[in-house]
Amino acid sequence: MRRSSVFASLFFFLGLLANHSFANGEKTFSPDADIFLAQAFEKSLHRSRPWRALLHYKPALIGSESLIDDPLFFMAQDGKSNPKAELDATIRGFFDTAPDDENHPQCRFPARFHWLDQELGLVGATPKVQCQKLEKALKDIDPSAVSMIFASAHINSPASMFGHPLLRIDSDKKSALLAQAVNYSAQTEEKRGVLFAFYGIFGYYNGLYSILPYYEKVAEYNYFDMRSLWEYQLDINAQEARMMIRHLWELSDKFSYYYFFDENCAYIVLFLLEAIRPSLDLTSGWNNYVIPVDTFRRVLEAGIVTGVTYRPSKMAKMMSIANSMSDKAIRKSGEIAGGESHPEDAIQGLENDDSRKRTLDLAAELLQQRYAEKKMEKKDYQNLFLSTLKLRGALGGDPPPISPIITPVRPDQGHLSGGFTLGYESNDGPKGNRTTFSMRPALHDIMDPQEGYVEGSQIEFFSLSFSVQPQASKLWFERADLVNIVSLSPINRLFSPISWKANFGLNRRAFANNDVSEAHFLNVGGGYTAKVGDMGLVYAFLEADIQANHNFDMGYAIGPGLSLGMILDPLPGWKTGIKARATRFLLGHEDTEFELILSERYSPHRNMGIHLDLKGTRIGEKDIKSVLLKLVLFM
Amino acid sequence: MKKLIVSIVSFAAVLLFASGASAHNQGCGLGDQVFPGADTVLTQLFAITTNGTFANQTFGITSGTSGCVPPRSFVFNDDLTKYVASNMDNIAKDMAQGNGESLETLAEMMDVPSNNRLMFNSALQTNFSSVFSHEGIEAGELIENIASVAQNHHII
Repeated sequence: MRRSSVFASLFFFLGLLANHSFANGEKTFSPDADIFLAQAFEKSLHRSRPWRALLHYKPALIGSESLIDDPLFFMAQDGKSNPKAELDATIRGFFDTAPDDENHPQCRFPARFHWLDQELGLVGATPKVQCQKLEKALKDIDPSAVSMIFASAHINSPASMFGHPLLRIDSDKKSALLAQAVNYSAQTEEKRGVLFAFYGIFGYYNGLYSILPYYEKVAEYNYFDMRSLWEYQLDINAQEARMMIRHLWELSDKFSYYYFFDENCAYIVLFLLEAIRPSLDLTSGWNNYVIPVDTFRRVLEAGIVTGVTYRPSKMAKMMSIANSMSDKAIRKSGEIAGGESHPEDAIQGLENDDSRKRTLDLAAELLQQRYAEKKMEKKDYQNLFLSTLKLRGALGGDPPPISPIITPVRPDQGHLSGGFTLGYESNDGPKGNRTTFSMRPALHDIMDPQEGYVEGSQIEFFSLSFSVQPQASKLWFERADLVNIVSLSPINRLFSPISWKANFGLNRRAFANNDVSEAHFLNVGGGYTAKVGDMGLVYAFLEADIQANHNFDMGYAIGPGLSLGMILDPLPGWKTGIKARATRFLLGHEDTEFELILSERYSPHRNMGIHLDLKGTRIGEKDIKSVLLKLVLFM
Repeated sequence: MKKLIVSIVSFAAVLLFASGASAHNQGCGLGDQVFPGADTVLTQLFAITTNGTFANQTFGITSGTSGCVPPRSFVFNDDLTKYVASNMDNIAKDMAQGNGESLETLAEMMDVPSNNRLMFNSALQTNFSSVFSHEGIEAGELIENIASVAQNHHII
């Protein structure tokens, strides 16, 4: 088989030479594609790493399968699962003589053409096709490098909690704002509600790439979402950056089913990097879920990050102006932005020009903010914004000194995403003494080391706990938290954001009658958080609690609750938490439950925590005390 | 009944977050580039699974025009009009303050020589009122005004 194909290719090669020597003038002769098919087969190109990367093939149960779902991405009928057939059909397509230029396979699949030309020398043998749109795009973008961008979480925006990765195609002839941002996201057509989340998880939406100027992404993330951006410059050369444009060209409008956990924005971005440098291995070895920050760790491990830049959010900028202002001056900015006093009047009483400049600068930021939040009409905004800036322009001169923005710890330098816990609980209630263990795939408990995460935030998904009583040789399911989110967003000198929390799952708990059994629960709350100097946060929540269990009178219990707490980090590596909570069940069951928890955590290392929790609970007339000592490891 | 009211009040704590979201504005002037306001916490929670971003983002690799009237007198390209239309509010802020990334990028796009950039910034700051001559100003007219200030000061 192998031998005969060698002869076949030799034969065709001779044929090609002959054809070339006889071809004359404008009469273009396109030699049969078969010779190149044979060569490609000889070189096992269909099994080669670059071909697999360009086609997004991954090993499947049998053979391979591409993660791209759009049939238009493939030249062969069975191209999605047959790399060889796809390669053959692609090569044949490049010899096509009929279609007009822009729809020619050479223009539709320019990255494949470029690579196969390098491997087989297609140019000259294939019909000459002008891909003018692509050439124009390459010329306009003039790519020279690629960066990977991480849009970090914003504290009060749950949709942002995992962060979001983008790629950016840079040109050394242009400033960063004019670079091209490459984004992959689900096309959701504005559906909202529970189904929206369901569709996102189970791949009902199409994921598509978009390319747009980076300034639009900066506006979206930095300005309107108040998220800071981290720019990781990659060691990618101009040739590879051009290849990325060609590959994106192929992917334009080609959908893949979007899966929140694995085939998500983060994972797909890694394919683009593999496609332009096939020697990179970034997409293999993942579990069933991909957390955006972990893709940055992977790229760092691959050794292709040359530098990281921090682009602070609008909020950070506003705070840095405000932090260098007096209370009076801040109040004046608020009055201008609120339309309560004319800018000219507002800055009258201020001591010096620097103070007046800062007041107007902050007012301009606040006006943009209020308008973005739809708290003012466009006409009023235009009017106030311009009259503020005209005054500011008239003050001229150097910018006023403001307090510097401190660059936080990089997101990839935070503790790792998965958590495993082993502990021992001494409990004088019906649950008794137990050894406990738990795991959570993602991401951050409010008591975990802060570095790299948003202060006061907690995001836990699918966390599971079990316990064992060796003497009774029993294994218990202890608790499952489908979602456990806390967002403690402190009141600052400019804003009074609402803090909130949501927790939903199944919990094995004790009841007043000494029974221990599983209760479904949903707990949500809203409240306020304040900073205690540099020591930490103090918060108060009004809550609603719903639980279902046969021990409740009607099988369920619903009622309001109140919780107060503090999270202090007085020393590096240490965190102290105090929380008191009262829940008054009124519907389905009448009872009041109290809980008081004191927790201490010490982290000798960012990926390790030692916790001691002291807990007192009152359920009806019954008091239960427990002490839990546990070790948390992140991996 | 009383219990019911208490429960409803406690749920109201959650609904405090409710606020409206609306569509993307479009236009070529100040205040036209504002994205939809923050969604409610609840809808965002659902949006988490789809990497919810603003809808209608496209494969804009070849699209240059923004649908805004280009400047008449200044030699321009589509990208400049599009850039100014998309960044007008921040350009205005930078111009009034005399520096900033949006303004630097504008200078780059208008081919202001790098040793003239400081002059460019201060001329525009001093002439802010004549550059942003009226509230409804659009990208094309703004570019003309900027260009005429720069030309008057022999910056470009």
